[in-house]
Amino acid sequence: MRSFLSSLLMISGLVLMGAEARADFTADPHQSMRELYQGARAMAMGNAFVSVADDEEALFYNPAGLAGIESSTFQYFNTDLEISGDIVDATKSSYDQFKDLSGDSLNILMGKNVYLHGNYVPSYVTKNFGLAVLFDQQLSLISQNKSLPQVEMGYQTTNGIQLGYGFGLDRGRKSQSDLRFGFGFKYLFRRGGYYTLTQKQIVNIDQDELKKIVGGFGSGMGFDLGTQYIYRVSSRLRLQAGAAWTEIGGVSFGNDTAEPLPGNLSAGLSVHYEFAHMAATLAYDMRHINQSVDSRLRNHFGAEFSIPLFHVYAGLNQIYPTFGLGFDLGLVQLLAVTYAQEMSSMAKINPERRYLLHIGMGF
Amino acid sequence: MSGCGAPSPDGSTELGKRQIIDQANKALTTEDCATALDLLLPVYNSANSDNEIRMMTASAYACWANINYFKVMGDMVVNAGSLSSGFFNYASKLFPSKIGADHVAEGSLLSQDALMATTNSGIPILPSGSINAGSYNVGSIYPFDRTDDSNLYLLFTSLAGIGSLQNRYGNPDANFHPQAKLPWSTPANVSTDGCGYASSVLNFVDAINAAQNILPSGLKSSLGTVATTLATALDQACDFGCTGGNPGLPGWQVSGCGFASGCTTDHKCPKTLRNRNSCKAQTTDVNSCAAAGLVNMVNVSPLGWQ
Repeated sequence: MRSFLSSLLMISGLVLMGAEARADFTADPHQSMRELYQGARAMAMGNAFVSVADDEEALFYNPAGLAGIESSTFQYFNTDLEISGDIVDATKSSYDQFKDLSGDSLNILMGKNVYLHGNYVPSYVTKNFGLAVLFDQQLSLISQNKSLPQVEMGYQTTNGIQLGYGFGLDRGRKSQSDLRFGFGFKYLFRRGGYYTLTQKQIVNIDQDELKKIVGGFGSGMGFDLGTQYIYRVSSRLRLQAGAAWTEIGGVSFGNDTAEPLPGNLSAGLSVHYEFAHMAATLAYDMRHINQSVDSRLRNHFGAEFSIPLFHVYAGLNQIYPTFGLGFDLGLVQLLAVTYAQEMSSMAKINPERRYLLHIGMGF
Repeated sequence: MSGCGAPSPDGSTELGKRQIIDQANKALTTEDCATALDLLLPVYNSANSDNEIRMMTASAYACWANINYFKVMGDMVVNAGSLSSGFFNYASKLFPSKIGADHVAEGSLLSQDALMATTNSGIPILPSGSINAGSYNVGSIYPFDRTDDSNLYLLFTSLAGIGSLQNRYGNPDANFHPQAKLPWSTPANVSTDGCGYASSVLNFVDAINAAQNILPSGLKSSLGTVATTLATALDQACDFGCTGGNPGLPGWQVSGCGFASGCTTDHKCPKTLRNRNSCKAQTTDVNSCAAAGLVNMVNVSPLGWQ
């Protein structure tokens, strides 16, 4: 218990140190909450994953978790496809509005959040080490304010590699507790980002203007640090705490158009219980601790309940419910998730409900 | 957790200002003009006001003026051909209004104030060229002092001012032709609404000229024609108002003003008439005289509202 408390103190120290730091970029509160990678399993658990970090998603959430990986996994096909709920509404409304075309037809997307996202992230993780290749594409359109349209356009391509290394102080001795540390490195190429169009751009939007807004590829490097503390209360029950500082100091891409990545400091606690062939995990994270954001948007709760072949998830991402259902055949994993994310700077202003399908194949 | 009392945003911080703007945008998406204005005015009327707050406040006032941006823009593109031949008629059609029944005119005039305060950074504004001097939102009468976005939006809000005031005072028929002359045709009768009308007309012409490089091609040429035709006619009308002359048009009311050299040395409408609060309703006031001349032109000229 004493070492659990002293480990918690060390984690708190990392959190406080990071909380004093400021991102290198004066990102608007919405931009500052955009993350490089949001894993399907993590999002099903309300994005409360820093202390859990027990699979390939540890590479992006908390590299210290790589120290707990017990067998090697190569995910050669690992893809997420997601859309926003408004796309269905917008498609139906578009047909009706454009049957009777008028200036008002352009208002069909007003108040709607259109979002499309796909990624392909093959990865290899083994004890202490992980490597992933990232291919990510996002498209987004958010229009608000009928009097003076505020149009936020998102077009972003991010490709790169992510490496991670984690080690535990118990050196695999499976002692009652283990304090782990990890660090990560990423090299990324990015084109585009999220832009609020000026009136001039709105009235003159065409392909050339879009190309000018989005710009070309830039590249940048980033570093992550993480720590994780595991306390095995019994053979079935373990308590976990974790903290991670990803994209320390932010990642810039060397040009004016590729959106920089702000640093993200997170900390979390979780409880994991195994019984028979079942397991349950409850987790809580506080994310974006180092950023000036609505405090309600920092909180994440998640739960995972696993039986052979199936996983059921629920959680609260910020203040919005998440649900997930997973099917795991070993070589193939399917996971369907719904979650919502705040798209403005304040809770309950503009939540965007998303639907995600994850397909994983590996061995 | 979500019900633990939503914090009230603090407009003096960047985060708070962003939250206010986001809330206002949400309200204006559903055309809830009152909520948007209630959110924005405390920041607008404070030292924390900036161009983003001014544009947002302009849009909240424009909401009261029934400006649905895409609808108006789309309508103007579709009717581009008839803009140059029946501009004043078109303005009445777009912005119906009745005194005491709506806030279209008020919204448009206050929106113009906010837009004229949306200036490029580092611009020196002399008192002679300023609007609402001493406030937290000092405007400039010169379009080149203002941002591109504010000049573009001024096109819409000034059009709303013209149309709504014409509807309130000109009693248009079903085809939007006037059934009564606008009452501000002598300096003594140039009320605040009359001065607001004259300033809206001039601001509209200024906005077209300033936004020429920004407008979509469908509108650029037709609005350009409107601006060129009107600018000349307006300057002549202002000059007749200031000199007390008569162009010989039936129904023209001589102003009684005595500025022998005209309103300005180059015989144009006074720049200061862009300020809707600049008229004193006297024959010794150049802005009132110019405004009276302008209104006479609208009332009786074939280029006016017929």
